[in-house]
Amino acid sequence: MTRSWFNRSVSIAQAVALALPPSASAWAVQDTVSQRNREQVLRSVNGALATAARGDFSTARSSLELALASCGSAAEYRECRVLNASGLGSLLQRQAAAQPEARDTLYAQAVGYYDRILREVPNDPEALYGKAVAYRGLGAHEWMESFFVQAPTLDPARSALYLTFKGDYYATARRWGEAADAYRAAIQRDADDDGARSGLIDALEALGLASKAELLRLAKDWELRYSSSAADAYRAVLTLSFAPDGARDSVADAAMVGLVRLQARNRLAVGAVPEPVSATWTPVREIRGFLRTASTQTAPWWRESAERTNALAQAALAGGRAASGAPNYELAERLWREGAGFAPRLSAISLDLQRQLALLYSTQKRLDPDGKKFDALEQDIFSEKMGALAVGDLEAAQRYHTTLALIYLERGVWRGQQAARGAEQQFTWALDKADERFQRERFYQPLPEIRMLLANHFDSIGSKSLAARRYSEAARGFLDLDDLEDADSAVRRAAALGAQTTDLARAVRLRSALARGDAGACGAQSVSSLGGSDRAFALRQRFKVVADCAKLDPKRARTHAIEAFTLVDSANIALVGGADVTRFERVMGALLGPFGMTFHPEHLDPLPAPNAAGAIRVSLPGETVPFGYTAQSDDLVGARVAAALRDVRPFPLEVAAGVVSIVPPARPSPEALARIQQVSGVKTVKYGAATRSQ
Amino acid sequence: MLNALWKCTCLVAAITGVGWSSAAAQKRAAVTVSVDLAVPRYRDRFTDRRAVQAKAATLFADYLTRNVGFLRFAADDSTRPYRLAFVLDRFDRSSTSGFAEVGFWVRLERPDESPVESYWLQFRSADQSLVRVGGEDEFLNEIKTKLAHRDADSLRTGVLRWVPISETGLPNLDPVGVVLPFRLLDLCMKRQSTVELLAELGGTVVREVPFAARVVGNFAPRGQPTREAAPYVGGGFAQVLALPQPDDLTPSIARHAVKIKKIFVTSYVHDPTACGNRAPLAVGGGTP
Repeated sequence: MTRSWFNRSVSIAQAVALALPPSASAWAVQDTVSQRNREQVLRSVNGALATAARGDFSTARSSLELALASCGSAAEYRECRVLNASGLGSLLQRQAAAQPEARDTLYAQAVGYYDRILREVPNDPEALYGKAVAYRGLGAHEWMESFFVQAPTLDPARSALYLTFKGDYYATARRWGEAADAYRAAIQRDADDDGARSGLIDALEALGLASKAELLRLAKDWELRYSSSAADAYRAVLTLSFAPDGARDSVADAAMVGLVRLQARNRLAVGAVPEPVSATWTPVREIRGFLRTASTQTAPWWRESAERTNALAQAALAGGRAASGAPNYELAERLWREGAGFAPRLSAISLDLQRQLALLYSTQKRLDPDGKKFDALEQDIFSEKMGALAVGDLEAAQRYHTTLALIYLERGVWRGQQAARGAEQQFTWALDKADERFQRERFYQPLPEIRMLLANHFDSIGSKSLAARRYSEAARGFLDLDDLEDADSAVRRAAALGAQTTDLARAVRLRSALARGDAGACGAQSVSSLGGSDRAFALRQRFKVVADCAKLDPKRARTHAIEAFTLVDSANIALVGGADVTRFERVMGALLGPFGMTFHPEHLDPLPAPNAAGAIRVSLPGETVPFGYTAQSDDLVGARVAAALRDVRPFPLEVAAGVVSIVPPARPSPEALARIQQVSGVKTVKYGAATRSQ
Repeated sequence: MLNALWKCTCLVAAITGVGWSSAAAQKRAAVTVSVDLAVPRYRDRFTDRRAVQAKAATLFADYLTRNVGFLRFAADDSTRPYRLAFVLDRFDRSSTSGFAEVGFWVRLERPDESPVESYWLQFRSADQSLVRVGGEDEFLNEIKTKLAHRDADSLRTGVLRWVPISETGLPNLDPVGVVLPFRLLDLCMKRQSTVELLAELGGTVVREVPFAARVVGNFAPRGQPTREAAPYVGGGFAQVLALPQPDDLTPSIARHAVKIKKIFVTSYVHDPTACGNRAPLAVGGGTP
């Protein structure tokens, strides 16, 4: 959160700023008396809170109360009052948590301080939040309703959270319809709000049978991204279906299928149902029977439609995994064989079942002492499916080829009697699938280890050109994954076999210099030397280099950070590995910090995410699907503004919901304002009281 | 009236107890979290393995703190009697294959009882076993990413149901149940969660008997609470689900001859909003 302190800045500071002549860069100096005062007050408040953290609440409170009284009532000392009152509110809440016998009194006193702040600054975000948390601590009372109703409008940046609080308030009062409305509105604003989803499920379940269809729809919507909420929603449908007036209808059937699918995908206990659901209900009885016996004859209900059959195949996959972990390899084999028998041909689930079987035969020799089962599995695949694999599920196909390649590798079979029955061909197909995924899905996978294995193999059998090609590819992969030592080794071996490696060798040298902390390598000439025929690779390397230079080269840090950000934001390069995510976060911090903005790091989600369009693609080693990093849109807009003002001295600004607020006493030139307004994602620019719409 | 509604949900008419006066002031039980890299490829990758394990333990402890509100978690604090170890090991420990799935097993070590263990989090599938381990930052980031997409259900009702959240509680006669020494808000727990109460029934022969109970609301006594009940006001109330026949519990509560020995959470309905909003923001902005 960015504080709106500067909006309330002290008149002395304004007077100082106004007395200054306009600076050449059109910005007034910001290191004012007001800022120093703020820092002093904050130090004092935090000191008191540290005293409270040691258990001495009384001393801390006296100190803050004294400081608050000393602020006086003059307008220019409002910030002093706000910070000290906020400190007191915070202290009293901590004390309430530590001293439950005085809890209600302490929470009420905390609310008193927050109210005092809100009288001066009606939408102060800290006070609003503090008051909301204290109210929740007190337990819901009717007189709180107006606050919980108004709060979402007072702090738009946290409106989803306040809508969830509002929903919680109504839920406590068992006003389920209003609770459901509030939770729905919260989810609309922030789909990631776990509490809102959880609350909505509770509210809909409390509303009864009429909610079954909505719960089912929500569960389906949430399956991929919020699996835990989806499972809860499916369970709620099943619970309602077994309520006294409930019916085991098509909605209940669909919920059961969805729940089993989720349980299978997420390694939960398959077939576990809420307590009210009868264990003799056909879908429950059959799925449990199937997982026990591995016989589809016990599960005819689950074979009645394609969707149920697919869910049953996933249950077979998960059940086999659970059995092999038990370990009960015989049951695992039966479940996977049976599943592979009825799973849709050439589907991802079919390939996954066969992959597990192949692995099982490879590791549990007693299940296949003469190797015939493995041979039959191979034969089945090669005779019928190989052509179709190319157009099927690419992730499943790639994983399948990789697994077979590893099995052959472990057996020492690089080339079998048939090409497909050896590690060389299987690894090659796995890499082909990876390339195809890059072309079709924009999912880049470096896979240097596989490329290196193939290169060594080709090298050992004298296939020099193939080896050179694979060594070069491996070098690129290692560079992408920041493994400079192995990259260097691969480049050398490629060069020794006659490959053209000038660009790669240059990249290794430059990256190695930066890794040693040599800021001299950040010169424009060095950076622009990154090139070569693989443009995507060159851009990825350029991102790493300029991002590292933003850290190493303080004089040009902002320039480097702007370039690194632009590569991600405009050129849409993929980040590769956790190190690139760290680089990106550092770059964002370097861009936003000078403008007084704080970067809010986010986490990674498997793609596609609901807002995948704005997500930055990330390829993580060990993951078989692409991930997306969804930075907060206000942070991105802030970084774009910072990039647009590359030659302007930084000044404090805030971005909220696309609205850029320039904080007095900074006075940007009309030209700078115009630049900000042209930034993608900026809705409005506010300066002081004036608002200039785009 | 909202307050009246709340009181109705608690259904507490008579308050009885046997003098655990400061019960409600106690903190939630704490569990030590540690990480052990058992797979040689990972164990040997980091020169300062202990430091990496400690950092990874902090990630797991943070994850648990966010997702399991009924206990407290601290990384590598050896003073706690309950220890939750996340062990990076092969999924199939009997396999000697050169390429094998590895993931985190979770093992609960508890005083005077055998450990409970289960496989919890896949880290690298068999087909990804060739992929390099990466540096410390990458390894920790990978764990963080995995944790962000793993729900904690199987931990909550799996191994963690064996850690008592409290060794005290306030027995209640009508309806028969127990007041927990914590507010539901503090446990990030919703109604419908279930607990197992281990109660000591006094009499000629003292017996320890387990009872299943469902959390139905917060404890709000009608009228002035007794001295014993006062610290429990606002605590979660769990109503016993099915009384055994013959019912020894009800008369024992009436005789003030019940002592709650342990309370376990057996089914946890998580309240994520409560866990995510426990404390006020840092004064002046920034991270609290």
